[in-house]
Amino acid sequence: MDVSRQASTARADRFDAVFAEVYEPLQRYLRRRCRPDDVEDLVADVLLVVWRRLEDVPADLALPWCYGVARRCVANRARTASRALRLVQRLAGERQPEPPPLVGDPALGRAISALSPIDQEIVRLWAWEGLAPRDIAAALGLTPNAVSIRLHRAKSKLAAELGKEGRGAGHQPGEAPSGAQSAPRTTDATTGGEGST
Amino acid sequence: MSDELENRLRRANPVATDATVHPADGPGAAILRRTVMSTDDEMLTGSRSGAEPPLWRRPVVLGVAGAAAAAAVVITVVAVTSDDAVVPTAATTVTYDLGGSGTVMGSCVPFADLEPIAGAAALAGTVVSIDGDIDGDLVVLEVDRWYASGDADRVALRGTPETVSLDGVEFVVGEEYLVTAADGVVQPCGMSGPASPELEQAYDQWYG
Repeated sequence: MDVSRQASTARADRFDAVFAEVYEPLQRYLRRRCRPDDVEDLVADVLLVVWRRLEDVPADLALPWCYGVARRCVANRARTASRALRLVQRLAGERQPEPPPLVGDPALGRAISALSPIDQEIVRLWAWEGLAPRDIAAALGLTPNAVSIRLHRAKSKLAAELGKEGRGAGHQPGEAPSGAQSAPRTTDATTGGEGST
Repeated sequence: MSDELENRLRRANPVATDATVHPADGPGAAILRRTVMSTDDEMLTGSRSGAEPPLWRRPVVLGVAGAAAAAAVVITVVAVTSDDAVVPTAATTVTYDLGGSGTVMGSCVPFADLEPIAGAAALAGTVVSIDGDIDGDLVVLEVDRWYASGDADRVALRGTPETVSLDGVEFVVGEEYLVTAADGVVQPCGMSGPASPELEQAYDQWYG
């Protein structure tokens, strides 16, 4: 086998390994943030980027890296919507498609919406993708220290917002919202989860 | 509260961690894998969403200085459309980097203790476009006023995927920002940000 063929095979093997690692969690990531109709196309977009930039994919942080690419693909998808939709989004000050609503917890949805977009994503990656700060940092191009600080502040802000809502409506912070999903995950999000590496 | 909040966030997850998705070893995945691997760079450039045209409105987090980069002055042809007519006009554009990492949040000096940077460029400008793809972002401001070291009509601020956020300062088309750049890199930590009476007063004092 000549050298170029060996290199090609090694590259294909590497892509297969990344594909196997990210394909399923990537679908869940996108389903949490996009319309169902867009998920398959966006998964393909992300994997095309992985194939094109395979040499840039960090060996031990492939999934967070892919989440970062997916986040940009989602934003790009929003830009390519119809002119009318873009105009509406511009007027509304939005930059991404409306993600699926939080399950049965509108108060929490309002509290999260009060965070900056980057802090919203940090919270989601931590709570839903189960990423540790180091992985979130890789996904968002931040330092782990900055993520830890932002996450701490975001949680404090959420707690304060929910506390205000709870006092106003008689709903206690942390009270199980109606219509919530069954048991929460038991995995420690700071040490592992769907996207832990 | 932290555990309660964590549990509440997880209960609100719209797609459970173990939700069924297309399996990585399924036939659909195999087709996708083959399709992707048979796609060359030229095709990628024309098809991937990351190569789509510019966005109109997209907040971009203001970067923290750190990466060495030089400002580049270029001549840009600006197309002005009116009744479908294109009238090219020349405008000078200077490009600054939004920078990479290097400054950790919390290490900035208090605003009251900030001092002007000798030789730095300083300007007030309104964001006219925000472009970006998976490789980075480009924010273009039309200069409203040069405070120091510049006379270009427009300033382009280039970010990278590694851009570090600075307390959530974001660019929005149509809004005005005050920007200080030294050695071609935008200066963070209160030196640059959305226009405000406080920052304008500081710029007047520093560069007036």
